[in-house]
Amino acid sequence: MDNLTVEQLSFAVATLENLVNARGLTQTQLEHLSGVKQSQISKVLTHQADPSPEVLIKLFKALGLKLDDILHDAPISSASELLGYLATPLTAVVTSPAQNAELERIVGELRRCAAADEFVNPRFSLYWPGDYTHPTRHPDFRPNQVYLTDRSRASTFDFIVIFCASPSYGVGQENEIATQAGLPAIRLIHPGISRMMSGSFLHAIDVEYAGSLERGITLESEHVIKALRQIRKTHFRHRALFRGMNGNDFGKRLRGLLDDRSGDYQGFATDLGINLLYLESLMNEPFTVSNPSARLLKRMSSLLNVSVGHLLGEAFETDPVLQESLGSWNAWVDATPGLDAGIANRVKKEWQDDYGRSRKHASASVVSQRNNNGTMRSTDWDKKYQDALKKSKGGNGAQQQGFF
Amino acid sequence: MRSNRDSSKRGGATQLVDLFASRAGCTDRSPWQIVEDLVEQLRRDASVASALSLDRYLKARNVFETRADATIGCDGYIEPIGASFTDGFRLVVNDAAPLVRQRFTMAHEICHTFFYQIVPEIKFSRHPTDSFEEALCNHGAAALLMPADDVLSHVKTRDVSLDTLEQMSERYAVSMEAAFLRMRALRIWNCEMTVWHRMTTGEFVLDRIHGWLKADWRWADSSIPDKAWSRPNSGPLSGRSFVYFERSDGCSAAEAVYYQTKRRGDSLIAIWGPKRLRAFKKPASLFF
Repeated sequence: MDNLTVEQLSFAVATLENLVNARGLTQTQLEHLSGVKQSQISKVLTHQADPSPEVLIKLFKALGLKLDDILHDAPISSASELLGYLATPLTAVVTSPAQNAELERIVGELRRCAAADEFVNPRFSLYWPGDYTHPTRHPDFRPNQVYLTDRSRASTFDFIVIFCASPSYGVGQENEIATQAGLPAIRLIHPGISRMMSGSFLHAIDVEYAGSLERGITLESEHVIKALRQIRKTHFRHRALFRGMNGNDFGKRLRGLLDDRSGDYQGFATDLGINLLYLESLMNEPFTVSNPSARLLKRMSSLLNVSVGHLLGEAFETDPVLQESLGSWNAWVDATPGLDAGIANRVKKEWQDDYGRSRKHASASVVSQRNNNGTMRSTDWDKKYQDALKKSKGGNGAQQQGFF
Repeated sequence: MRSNRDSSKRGGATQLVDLFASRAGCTDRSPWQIVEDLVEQLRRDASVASALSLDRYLKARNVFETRADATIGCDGYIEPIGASFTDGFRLVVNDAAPLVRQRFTMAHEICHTFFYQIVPEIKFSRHPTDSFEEALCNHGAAALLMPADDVLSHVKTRDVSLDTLEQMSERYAVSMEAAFLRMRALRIWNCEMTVWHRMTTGEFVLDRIHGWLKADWRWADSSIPDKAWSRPNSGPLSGRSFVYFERSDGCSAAEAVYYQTKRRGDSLIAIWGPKRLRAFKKPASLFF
């Protein structure tokens, strides 16, 4: 992986600090999750040393995140591995040594399939919570830490493998999280799978197995490898289709709106129908992790008197008034020789900012607004330009820049 | 081609305006008349002889908080402080706008309080912007800032001219366009008003038109706007000429007009009509 720029490094470390603090993780816990020494973590978090990209990748991976995503999908590296989350029953199985052994055998078998020679550039890497947050081997993690870490992984990794053993306790949550996140999924099922699982909305490639954890499981490796081939195809298609959709400003925007209204986080969470921990995750965690449902977004929109589009920060760019206005700006620039490019661009930027602010109340609200923000025509741009030109001439008389 | 606002009907009324009109007025009054009545009542309640200060109107309409903010991205807005009319309102106005526009915005927002009071079940719930309500609030704002009786007594001895319009604008601290639209609404004048912008390229382009077909009208004699522009401190340029438009779909029209035009700031303002711009004659009724 190439070295990060200073800006990328600062951004990544600041994000890391926020996440570690928000999740209440100790440096020792982070060491355990990431394999990076506590002393090194301490230096990173106290800005005594710049971490290498490899260390950052490990640290974010420990938090259930990918460095690429944190850096807004910046192409700072080509994917070196495809991360899969392996969801299996765990808590209900660990009390039986025989079932536990069979489970670990299956996990090993799946990893062997994922390590097949054909899967290189990038290779597969399967994360199994049993290695890190095992109920008996790692009892020191609090329930919310386990939940948030594994939720992060289940929703942000490249794909998920769900082992629906009988009983299928322990994978229902991951099934729903993956459904919400739209993750490519492989589901290992047996004919007696519960209707709750078989009827779920998850778009998964089903691979059937025979037997049970008690009696032993028979799984055709070739079927698993075939499913993994399909996962790779889906992953690269998604990568191309959804590039740049991290929505990292969502939490910041939500916090800003809440602070602007009342700052009563507990009251807002109660009205929204969620607990305070989830609200904090919505504000602190990347959008891919908090991943609020459409219903929650609509409720937030109602409580905060803003449009869902504003909350998501996505609708602005596709707004027809914005598009038409920018179109008329281009036409005006083309038709008007001798414009000062600096002023013309500034006029456009200022209007865009004003328009963006006015759109906060554009959807249904209790506010009554007198709006002067219709579609901008060439005449409107020219008027704004002339006003700005006058102000500029009254100022320092900076040198004119032309359009090339 | 010419049109006047139909003040006797509720054509195109939305559910909000229907409820507003049915609760606030007699069945034979149009929403426009109802708003004008409410403004007149407010003027009496607030005991305000001159509309130059809006403070007493704000107080009378429970606007407890006013704030100026140049970053709001719109002219202004009013938001309820609580869940009922008695809880009051917060009014925010964009102080980057010219003073006359700020005044009109405040008057416009004051008129919104009528809707909050009369149709609370809609206005205190999330609701989309109602363009009819907005138009009624503009009408109410004009009535608040330019009382009908005062306007009538002021213009009765004056010609239909840009000079009269400028005097109106100064008297009521409103824009010339707001003054013109008030005269049209009161049926005192029936000419049209156009505002032209001189592009950076030197070409005059029609920016706004009031009282006539919205089209890309042009002067047949392009020297008229040039002459008016080049004499900013002189009186209006008057005469008779043709204006025309041509659309890309082949539709075109030309009309002979009597005009007055004058440069005002960065704009060229013109009033024109098919007949000579004559002195005012008081109509038999304000609402025909």
